[in-house]
Amino acid sequence: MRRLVHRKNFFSTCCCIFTLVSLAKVVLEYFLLGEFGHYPYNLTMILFFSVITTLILSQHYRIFSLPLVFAVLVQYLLVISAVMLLTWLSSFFAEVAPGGYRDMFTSMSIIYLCISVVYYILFFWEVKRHNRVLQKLLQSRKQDQ
Amino acid sequence: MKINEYQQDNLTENYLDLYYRTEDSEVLAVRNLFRAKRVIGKSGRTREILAVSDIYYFEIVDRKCFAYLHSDVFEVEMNLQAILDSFRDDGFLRISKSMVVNVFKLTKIKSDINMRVQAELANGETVVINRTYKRSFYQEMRALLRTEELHAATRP
Repeated sequence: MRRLVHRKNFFSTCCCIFTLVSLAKVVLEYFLLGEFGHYPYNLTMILFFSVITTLILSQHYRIFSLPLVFAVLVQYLLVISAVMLLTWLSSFFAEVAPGGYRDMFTSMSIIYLCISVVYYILFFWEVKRHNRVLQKLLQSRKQDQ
Repeated sequence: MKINEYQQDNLTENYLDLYYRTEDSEVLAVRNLFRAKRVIGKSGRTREILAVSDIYYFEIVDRKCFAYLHSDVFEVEMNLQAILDSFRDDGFLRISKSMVVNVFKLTKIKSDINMRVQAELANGETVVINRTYKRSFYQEMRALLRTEELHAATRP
């Protein structure tokens, strides 16, 4: 029988279940208890931010032909614009704290910067690793001859 | 080296036996000559038999396929898929939509500021490894190394 959850999709499945359980809790609390305080509000906002960020990142292949640094910058601008737009839209439903926009900007920028740095390091590490593979290949071919 | 030739009507396949006392450069040259895969290349009106191991890369230009050697270029009547199917084990890997490179002719893999991966060839040329093909190129390089290591381990 085909395994539904395996090593490769374990983490993503876990994330999905966590999201669904958290959302179910928020929805049930709202309908059963009539509560929609700061915590469910923040959780819903985080969900919206995650969806928008994932949506923008999923469009990465459309700008694949561009130089990577440029592509990263374009994506960053799109993500930060979407976050700001969503924060502005949320201000119609709830009050945005003083410095809320700045906090959203720094929160997103720090995460984006961290991910970019990790990606950059992995990229160069990969090149270095495959240079070693290449040297081993050349060495083995020399021994053959 | 002494060469004996025999013609036999009952043979189902031509074969060549090589007897030697020590494996010197002459023996290696003869072995490489008969083992090497070949393609026919066209340059102007002349046709030449090219050893695949001498080819640095294949490139499609205007729907024609060219084989690039150290300093010569020949047109070959093959497409990139056929080249990959036939010569993947000889180290030919795809690096872009229009290019297949011989990894055994590479000297170095490097990256630039735009995080574009480039490969330096033994003749001093540089080719760009397209981002779409980068992952498969790396995977196939590792697979090739595993095969080479396996061969080395089973070699007498």
